[in-house]
Amino acid sequence: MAGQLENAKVNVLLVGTFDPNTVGPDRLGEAKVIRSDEAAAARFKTLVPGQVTDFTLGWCTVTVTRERFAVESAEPPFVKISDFIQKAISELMPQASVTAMGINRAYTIRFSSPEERDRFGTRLVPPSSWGNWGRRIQQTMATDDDKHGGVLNVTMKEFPIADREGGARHVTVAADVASNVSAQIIVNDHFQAPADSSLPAALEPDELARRRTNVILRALAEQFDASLNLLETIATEVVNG
Amino acid sequence: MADTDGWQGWANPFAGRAMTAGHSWPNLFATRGVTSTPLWPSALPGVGYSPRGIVTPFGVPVGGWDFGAGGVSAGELGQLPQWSIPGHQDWTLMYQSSYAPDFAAALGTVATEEQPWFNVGASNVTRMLRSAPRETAPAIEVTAEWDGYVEKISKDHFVARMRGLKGKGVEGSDEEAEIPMSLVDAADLDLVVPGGFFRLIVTDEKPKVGPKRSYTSVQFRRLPAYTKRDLDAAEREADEILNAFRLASGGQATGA
Repeated sequence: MAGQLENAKVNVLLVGTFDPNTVGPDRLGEAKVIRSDEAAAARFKTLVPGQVTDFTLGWCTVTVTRERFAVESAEPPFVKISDFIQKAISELMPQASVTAMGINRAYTIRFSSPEERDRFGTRLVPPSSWGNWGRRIQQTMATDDDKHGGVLNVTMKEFPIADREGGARHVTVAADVASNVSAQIIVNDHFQAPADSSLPAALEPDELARRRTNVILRALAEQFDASLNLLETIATEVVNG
Repeated sequence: MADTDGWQGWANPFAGRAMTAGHSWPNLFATRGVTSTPLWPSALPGVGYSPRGIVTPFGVPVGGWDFGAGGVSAGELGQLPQWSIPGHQDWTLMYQSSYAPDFAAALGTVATEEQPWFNVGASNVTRMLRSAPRETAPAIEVTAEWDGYVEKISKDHFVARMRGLKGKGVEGSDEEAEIPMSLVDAADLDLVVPGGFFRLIVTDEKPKVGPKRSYTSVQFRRLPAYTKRDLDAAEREADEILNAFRLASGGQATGA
């Protein structure tokens, strides 16, 4: 095995229009989106009324701005993220308009040695494909095991997606600048709400927004588990080659 | 010129773990230059402190910080800017090896109650920092996961139907199970009702040091309270836009 996947984190990010004021821990607790003890123990990181609500609940971090709604957790079962978002938006934020969603998995890739990390990096992006400049970088990799260049960041995109008419998946591998025996991998499953032209004509803007939001929330409810499993498989295969 | 090639600091895995009221453990400290004594006052052993008042988790002076004798709180840590490690300068690194076993392994030292801290010479600090894992939290792996709902409830257990989602021999299988109430967190007991949905997971936890641990847990789900009218409407809309999920290749990125 080229490396070991560690520190799994899952993040769901919604893009659209949100009201950050409606999802404070107290209101989430009252609506039973979270437990009352979680609401009481929530720790705010940032609170700018009307602009940003950012707090941790122990099992997750919630960040809501006027354009983003993100929940991140490293604690399984990750379906709690999906449930949290669906219940919070359905019951506390009925006016929210969601236009896109990303289901994301992130891992640290742990290598047994700096050389193993370099082999992984050069497999993904061979420096020799970058002309003489790349070949010089490759030479320094062989001669100086502590300080040398190499790939810092690479992203691969899958499009189209077989079970949708659009959307995309992205895999990004990034060097870990703080360690020469690890790297980061982030796998993103992107969902885009239907274009207005795809929805029934003559709907009011509010109704269009509501239907787009429903499509995204439905995708979250129905595809979350399968998406996570697929993203894990992709990450494993990228690391193992 | 300082070597600041993007060596950003990394998250302190112990931030928030209270040592004394209002204070938390940074995972390691480094101070610039020759070690000054005392580096931490006896009141709070282990909390970084320098006469200059510039100790941060990695000792990078950020200017004007005076933690006094109280050390640095998790909140203060969160306010620090991204820091970088000037690699060519002399650094003295101190850490508590029981909290940083990878550093202990690198140095071949083991912490004791008498000497829980190590004062490392300036050499190799840069290299150790680069080789150090970002976090020492245990690796957690879900080895099996079921999606289930409650069928019947008795005093000390409930009967559930479950479908396997993940795991060897588990995925896709249908099961009936008796699950002890003791697995349900007290704060979730009101969710244990016929029809209540939950997840059952088996988790392996592999600490950096010590044996692997496996445990089973039940997590009851907090789902939206849909009415029949909501569901009928959703069904109707789904039919209308069955082919409408035209996911544009553009749009805003939703990566983490």
